[in-house]
Amino acid sequence: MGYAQRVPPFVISSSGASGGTRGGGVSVSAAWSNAPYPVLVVGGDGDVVDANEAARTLFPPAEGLPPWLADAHRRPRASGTPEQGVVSGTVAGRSFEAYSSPGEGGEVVWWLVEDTGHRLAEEALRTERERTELLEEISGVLLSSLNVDRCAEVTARTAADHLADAAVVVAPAQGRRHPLTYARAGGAVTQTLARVDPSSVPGLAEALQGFPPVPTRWIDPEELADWLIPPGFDGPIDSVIIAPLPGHGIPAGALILLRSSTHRAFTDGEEAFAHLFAARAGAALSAAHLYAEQASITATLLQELLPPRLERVHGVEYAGVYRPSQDHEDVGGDFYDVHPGADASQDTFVVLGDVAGKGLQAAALTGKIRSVLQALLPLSGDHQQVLTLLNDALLTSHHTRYASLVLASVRRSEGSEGAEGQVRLRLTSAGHLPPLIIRADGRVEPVDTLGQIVGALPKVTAHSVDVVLAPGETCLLYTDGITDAHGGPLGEELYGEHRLRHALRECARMPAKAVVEHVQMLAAQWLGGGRHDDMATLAITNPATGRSTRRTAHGHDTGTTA
Amino acid sequence: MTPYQPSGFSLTTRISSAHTLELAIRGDLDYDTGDEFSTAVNEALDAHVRRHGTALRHLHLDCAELRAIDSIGLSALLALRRRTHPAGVTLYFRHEPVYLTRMLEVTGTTEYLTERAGPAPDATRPPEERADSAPAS
Repeated sequence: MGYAQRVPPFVISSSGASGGTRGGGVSVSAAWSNAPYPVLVVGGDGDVVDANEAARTLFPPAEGLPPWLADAHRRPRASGTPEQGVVSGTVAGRSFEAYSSPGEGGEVVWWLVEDTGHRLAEEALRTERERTELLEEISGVLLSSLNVDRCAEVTARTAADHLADAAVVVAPAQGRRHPLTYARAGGAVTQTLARVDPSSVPGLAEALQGFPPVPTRWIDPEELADWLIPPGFDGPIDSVIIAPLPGHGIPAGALILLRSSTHRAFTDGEEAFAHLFAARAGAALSAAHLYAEQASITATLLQELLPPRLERVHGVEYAGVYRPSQDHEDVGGDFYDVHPGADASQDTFVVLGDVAGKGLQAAALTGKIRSVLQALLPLSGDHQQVLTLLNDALLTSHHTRYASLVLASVRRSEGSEGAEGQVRLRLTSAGHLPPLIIRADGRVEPVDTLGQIVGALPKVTAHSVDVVLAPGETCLLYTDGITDAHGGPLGEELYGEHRLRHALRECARMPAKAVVEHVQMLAAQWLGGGRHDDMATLAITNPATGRSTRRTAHGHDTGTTA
Repeated sequence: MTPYQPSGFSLTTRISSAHTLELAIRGDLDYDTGDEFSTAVNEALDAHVRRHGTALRHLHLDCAELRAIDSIGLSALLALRRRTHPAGVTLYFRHEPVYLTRMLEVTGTTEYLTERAGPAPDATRPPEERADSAPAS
C-alpha cells in the first residue's frame, strides 16, 4: 500500500518538473537526476534535450545519441506512436537496454538499463554450450574409430579448427620415431613418422610419459622446436599450450596447440577447455592404441594357425578349403597340413583333424597338435606310433577336449614302362569320419579305417588301410561340419554322409581343387543362412593328366604295355 | 532367420537307489550345454555320495529325449567317465539314438565309456579329487 501511494507523486513531480523548467539551462527534476539509471530526454529532431547525472557520466550528451539509440528514436516518430518496445546496444563499452516513454511535445524519454553482466553470462553460456557440443562431437567421432591414425587426425584437425590456429599430436615413440600429426585451421592434415627429441621442448617428454599425469602448461614460443611447427604454417607464434593426452594407464601422447600473434592469446578458460578436450581425445587414442596392439598380437598368433596353401607335390594334387564356424574369424577347430616328402620316393604326410569346440580356444589346440605332428614327421610312416605319441602329448588331467584326425601317407608309384602312375595311400582314422574314395567311374567308397580319438583316452589304437588311386581318382578327407550341416528344404535336416557320398559321384575325374570347392558349395547351399560348425575338406587326387588322356586317345598303345 | 534353434537342455534324476542312479538327458548336449551337463551330473553324483556314500555301481544315462550331441558333448561324457570309472561306477546308455551309437563308434569310445568298472578302490577320497584324476597313459 505504501509503495503504491508513493508512485503518483513521483510521476506528477517528474512530469511537472519537465513541463516547468523548460528553458536554456539544463535543469532536470530531482527525481530524474537522482535516478540510478541514465535517463535522456530526446527531442523530435533527435537532439538530446535533457540528461540526468548518470547519463552525463556515461557519455557527453553534446556528442549526440549513440547510433543504435538514434535509429530507435527515429522509428517511433515515424509511426507516430510512442515506442514501448526494448532496444539495446553498447555505450562506452557497456551494454544497455533502452526503454522509452512519451514526454511532452513529441519528446521521448529514454531510460537506459545496463545489462552488461547479463550479456556476459549469456555469452559465457553460449561458449560453454558450443564447447560441450564440440566435446560431444569429438567423442562421437573418436570413439567410433579404433584406428590410431584416424583418431590422431581427428584430434589434430578439431583442435586446429576450434581451439587454436594449428595443432600437433605427438604420439608415443614407435621404436625411435614418433608419429606426428600436424593440422592447420582450415588446412590439410599431414602425418609423418619422425625421429625427434621430445626433451627439446619443455614439458613434452613428461607429457609423453603420461604417468604421473602432468597439467597442461604454457611454454614460451621461443622454446618451440622447429619440428613442432606444422608445414605451411607461417607467421610468428604467439602462444603455445602443451596438453598431455591421458590414456587408460598408458600414455597416448601430447597435444600441442599453437596460436599465431595475429590472433589473441589463449585465455585461462581456453586452457581449461583444452585440457578437457585432451582428456577425451586421449581416452579415444589410447583405446585405439590398445586395440591396435591386441589386433596385432592376435594377427601374429593367428598367422601360425592359418591353414596352409596347398599345391601339387611329387605328382599328386592336394587342395584344401576351410570355413570356420565364425564367419568373421580365420581360424577354428579344424585343421589340415601337407608335409611333402623329401623327394618323390618318400611319403608325403597329410593330416586333417577336428578339435572339440570352436573358435580361438579350439584353434590353440590345433596349433599344438600341428606342432607335435611336425616334430613326429620322422616317424610318420608308423601311424600307430604317431597317434600314441600325440595322445601322450595331449593328454591332460584338466579337460577331456579331444581331437579326431585322419593321417595319410601318400606316395606316387610310377608304373613300370608305360603303365599309368598310381598313387598309394596309407590311411588311418583316429576317431574321425572315414575318408571317401571317388573312383574314376563315379563310385564312392568309404575307407574302412577305424581308430580312437586322441587327447582323452589313456591309450589309442587304430587300424590303417592301404588304398590305391588310379588317375582321375580322389581321396576326400573332411570334417563333420560338412555332414552335420543343418539345413535343407525343411531347414533342420542333417546333410549327412549319405548325401555327401551321393553328391561326390559327380566329382569323378575332377581336379582336387574342384572337388573341395564343390563340397563346400554343396554344404553352404544346404546350410542356407543357418549356423554351422567348422568345415574343412582336403582332397588328395591322382590327376587325370594329359598323359593319361593321350593314352586314352591312342588306345592301341595300351596293348603294347600290357 | 535361423531355422536351427537349440532346444533347452535339462538333466533329471529318474531312479536313485544305493547302487543305481538313472539320469535322463533332454535336449542338445553340445557346445552350448556341455558345461551345464557336467555341472548337473556332478551335482547328482555328489548328492548320491552324501546319501549313500560310495555304494553307487551303475549310472544309467537315458538318451530317449537327447536331441543332438557334438564333440563338446562327447567331451563331457568322457569327463564323466573319468570320474565314475575309478569310483567303481559303470556307465550305461539307455535308449541310445542311432547318431550317438555312430558317434561313439567313429570316435572309438564305445568300449571306453561303457567299460565295466571294478569295485571302488578308494572310497575315502572326496568327489572333487576323483573328478580330476586322469587316466595314466
